[in-house]
Amino acid sequence: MAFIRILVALIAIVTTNIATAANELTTELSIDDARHLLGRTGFGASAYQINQLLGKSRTEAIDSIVDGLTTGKTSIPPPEWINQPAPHHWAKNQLPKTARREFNEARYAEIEALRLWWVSEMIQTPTPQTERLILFWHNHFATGFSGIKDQAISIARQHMTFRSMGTGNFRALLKAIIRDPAMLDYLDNNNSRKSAPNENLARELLELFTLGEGNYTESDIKNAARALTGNSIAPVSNLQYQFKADLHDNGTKTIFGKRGNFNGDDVVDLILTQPAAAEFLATKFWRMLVSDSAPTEQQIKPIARQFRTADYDIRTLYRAVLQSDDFWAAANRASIVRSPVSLTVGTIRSTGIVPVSWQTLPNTMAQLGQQLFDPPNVAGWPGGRAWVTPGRLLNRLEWLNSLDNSCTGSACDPSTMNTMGGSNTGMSGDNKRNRMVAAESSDQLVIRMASEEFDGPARYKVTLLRGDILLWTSGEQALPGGHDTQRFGRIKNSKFLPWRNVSFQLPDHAKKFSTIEIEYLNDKNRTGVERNLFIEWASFNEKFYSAKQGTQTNNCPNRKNARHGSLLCNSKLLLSKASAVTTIPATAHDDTLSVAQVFLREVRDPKHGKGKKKFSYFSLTLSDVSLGDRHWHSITTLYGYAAKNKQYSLRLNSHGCWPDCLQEWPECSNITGDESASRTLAITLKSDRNKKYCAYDSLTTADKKLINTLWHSLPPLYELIKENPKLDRHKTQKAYSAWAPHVEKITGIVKSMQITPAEKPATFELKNKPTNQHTALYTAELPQPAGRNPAQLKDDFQTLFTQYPNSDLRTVLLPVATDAQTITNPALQDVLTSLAFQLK
Amino acid sequence: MNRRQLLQLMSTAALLPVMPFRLSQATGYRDRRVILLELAGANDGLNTVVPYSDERYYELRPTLGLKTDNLITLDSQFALHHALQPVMPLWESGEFAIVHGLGYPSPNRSHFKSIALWETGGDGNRAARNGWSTHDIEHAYASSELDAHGIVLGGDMGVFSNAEGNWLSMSSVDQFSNLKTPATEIAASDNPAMAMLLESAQVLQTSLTRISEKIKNNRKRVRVPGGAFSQQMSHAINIINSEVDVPVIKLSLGGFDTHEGQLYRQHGLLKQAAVAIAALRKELQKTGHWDNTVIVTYSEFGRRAGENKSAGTDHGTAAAHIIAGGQVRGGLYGEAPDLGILHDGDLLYTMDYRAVYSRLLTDWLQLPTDRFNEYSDLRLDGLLL
Repeated sequence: MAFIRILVALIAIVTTNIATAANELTTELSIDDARHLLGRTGFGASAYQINQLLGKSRTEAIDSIVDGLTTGKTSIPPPEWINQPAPHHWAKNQLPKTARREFNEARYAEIEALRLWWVSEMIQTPTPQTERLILFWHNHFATGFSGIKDQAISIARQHMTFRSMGTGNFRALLKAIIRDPAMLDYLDNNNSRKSAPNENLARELLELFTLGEGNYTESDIKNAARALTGNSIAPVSNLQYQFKADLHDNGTKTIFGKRGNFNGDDVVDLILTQPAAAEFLATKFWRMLVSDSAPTEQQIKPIARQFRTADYDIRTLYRAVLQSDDFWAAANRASIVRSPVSLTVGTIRSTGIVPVSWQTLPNTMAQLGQQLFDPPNVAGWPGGRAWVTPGRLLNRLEWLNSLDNSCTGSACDPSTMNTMGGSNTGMSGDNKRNRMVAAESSDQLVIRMASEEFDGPARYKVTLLRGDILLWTSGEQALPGGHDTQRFGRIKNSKFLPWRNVSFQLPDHAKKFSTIEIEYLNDKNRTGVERNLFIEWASFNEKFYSAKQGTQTNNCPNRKNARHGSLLCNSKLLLSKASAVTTIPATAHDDTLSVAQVFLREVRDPKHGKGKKKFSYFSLTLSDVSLGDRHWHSITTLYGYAAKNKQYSLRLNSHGCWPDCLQEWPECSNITGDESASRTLAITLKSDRNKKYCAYDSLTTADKKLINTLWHSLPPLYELIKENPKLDRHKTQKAYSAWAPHVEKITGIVKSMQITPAEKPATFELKNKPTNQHTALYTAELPQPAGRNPAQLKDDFQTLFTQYPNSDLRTVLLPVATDAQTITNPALQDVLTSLAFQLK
Repeated sequence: MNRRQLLQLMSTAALLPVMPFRLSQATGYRDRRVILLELAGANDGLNTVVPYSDERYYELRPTLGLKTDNLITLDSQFALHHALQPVMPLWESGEFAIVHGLGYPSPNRSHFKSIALWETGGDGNRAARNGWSTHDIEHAYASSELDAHGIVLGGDMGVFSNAEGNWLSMSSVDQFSNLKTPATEIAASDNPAMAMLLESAQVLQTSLTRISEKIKNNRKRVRVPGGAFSQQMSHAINIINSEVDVPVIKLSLGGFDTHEGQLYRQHGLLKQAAVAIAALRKELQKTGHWDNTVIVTYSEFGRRAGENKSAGTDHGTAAAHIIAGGQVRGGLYGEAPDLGILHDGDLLYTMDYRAVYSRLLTDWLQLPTDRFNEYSDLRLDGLLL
């Protein structure tokens, strides 16, 4: 009886809540409400978006926000490389030193491109709520580029997972995350095995992703870790997810009191039976949307209940939070400290001012404590007070003050709101968005530059020469928005310089240049001020000129050995050595096996060991392979020798190739419980092919040709790995040498084989091309705040101010009324540096 | 005053020595500090504190093994790398301690991940979130009791990550003159977020004013000769001698990732560290602050026991670290890892590195709380007087 009475009381409470909520939600949106809704769900509130919401009821406004959560196309296409196969990270340590450095630099260029693209999208998108939610997931499932050996591709793929699944179902998202290669690497689950389960992923899954501390036991973690063993990565096979059945613990686990042979998906399902799960995520949404302080049980329970009832539908949760009284409550306005992303992107979207140095915004965010794709640890950015510690508050105010330099005179007057910096970045004025300048535009010279400023920006001149003939000159140019050494000191690590791509439209006659000359014009007298120009590369018409390959004349009296590309005082950099920007897929003749590079995986000495079961082998991975019209990103092949019957075999495994090694795997191939299924085929080398032999006979003709070609290529392959550093590192030189007579023997057998012309082996050919796939040159064009051009931005403000004569910049920009309210028509700078602007 | 002027103030040597004086006597702060010296890139502990009487050392290190003419003998078993000669006066006066075999369970060999563990007090099984000292220091001292909770002079803020107090990096220490005070809002606010911002702005202003005043009033600037790292040490000395109340100062010396050419590279780096530590002692002794200061090294991991083929060493696990100061009881602490028992070619750690943190927080800084109490190790009794 008592129970029923409580239940009735509960229903009564809920009904009252809904009743009042419904009343509130039908009220028409005030201008403050519109700014609040936009500021919390996106980044700042633009005049355009406010205008669009005005006249709507709160419910209608919420609907339009929720409807705007999109998984569709972005307004700016992402960098092209994210759709490419993964670079050969696994082979990095076999590259010579220079190639390894280039490989690493390419990955840095990629992650920087990804950051700049995302930030540009945040600025320009008509649906900022999508980007804000992706940022939420990035912070919730925090994974860092630096923590996964610079695998930019995995970070990009994870980002795309958030983009496609972040507005769907939380259960599905969790199951994607425990298969996400970036996460598996970051939390060390890729090597977690039955004999030594690693608890990191299991712990964070329970503590940070779903339940929160206190809602599980240490034993639950241990058991969940066992269930998650096997969730791993196939490094050679495009860095994809692979469930490795042989690493998985198939024993009985006990999680939340339930016993069973659970796997990772089961763990997710078990977690979501816990009431704490819905409340935990609801609380995180609350903190994103309602307030920095935690909700009471009474506040969060109804929201969590809706979320759980809808089987963890993320939109339902999102809508429930926005529909709560608390979201609209006056007490919760101006209660959240803006993150660096919200502060910078929000400022740009809501004022319409794009600072001159917009290309360095990812650096600015990093300086303010939020390096995108590199959160401090798996707990993400702590937020709240930690964003505005005294040291950071100082940096934030500095950045807001620096916007002053972006708009001089009337440019920052609200009535003449304007985008700034278009001409300064050297961008052409057309509105075609985001061209892949280096790769696609044949008439633009792009130079990646950075500067340190002292008493004004660095000045430079670009000249194009053919031999000694001058074809074109840029004239004297300034590079504004450099790092201010006067106030902040020098930057030690050039990685953190404010790099940007500056492009120049070239006239036809200038395109046949042979040399690019970049002259730094300041510091002729070497006055010792810290003003410097830095060049990383130039690119034109699919050619790439690295500063490191250039020649540099140096006029520094005391610094003779400045790094190439660091123009410290009135120096010149000459670039004439170019390399192709993109790796053009090798087109090979039918009868050539074309291979970019050959890497050693492992070698076992055929002489050592005992017993009849002894099996020795050496295995290689070939990169960027072409055979006729077939192409592989990688093929791993193992040459084996069984001492028992003195037979040789060639083995392929589907996870050693990308795409799959064979057109069709024969029936007699082995299949494991892996996901995706791992197929292995061992093909014994036989000169006599009269007997039926499934492993060979059931192959397609093209696959037979591949196998024969791999046998046939053994001698050159064997020769190629002679100098491989891994032999030294693994102390396997002896084992390698011991294979020499076997290679000879195999060659003899292969020669004596009777093979039909269609299956005849192709000739091996080494391209010896670098494997870094430097396709990351990326130049974003000046983004338009909230997708509005300068004229529209101006109109948007005028429309708003006309309709609301009592409104001014503060109404649009500040979350609360401040003392500054007494001043009439305050200057933009005063509004931006008002402490209330730090909040939303 | 801008950055340049401040740096000039901090590094120009004055003509007349002035007796130290205190500008303000903070009531709660015990006037004891720790200087954290990050040996970034992972210093090779085995060639820093060398088990020269162990033949296995020379077997593992046929080309890198340091012979006695390149060593400074400490006792019958151990010797220091000869580049550390400048710290020998500290050793001889019993102010220089070495703790052997520091490491943690389930070691991680990634620079990024492992330095994050050392800086937050985590291990391979359990990552941690906050800078290892931040919570206990913030708990002990309100921002108003100190000029800053901590100052980073080199490297990143990782060791103070996720902190909420007044943790500054050098670049921001210098920037105060440009701060526009939002004067109209200094009035109290009933909005908690706003109140927090106001507090932060006020702490910032007070802190920067106090630090700059103190530094300006310290007429005796010190300049340790040498490169960028000496400059960091000079700043640290000047901050301390200016009586700035700050319990933690972090410095960073990079380049220890000696996969090749280790003999030459490590020698140069250890020498820089040793010269700077010797200068720290010399200068702080003059002002009486040496007895209030402890300098401690840390690094993401040690290096492999065996050398590689490029006359270098690869990423490893345990390493010895240095603790020095006027109130440090010098000597060798703990046990060096047994060179006969390697795991996968790596040294096995013999003491959890957090044992040192625990001592720094309790014995040295005398804070009321200690996150690392469970790692406290009796072998470190008496290390810090």
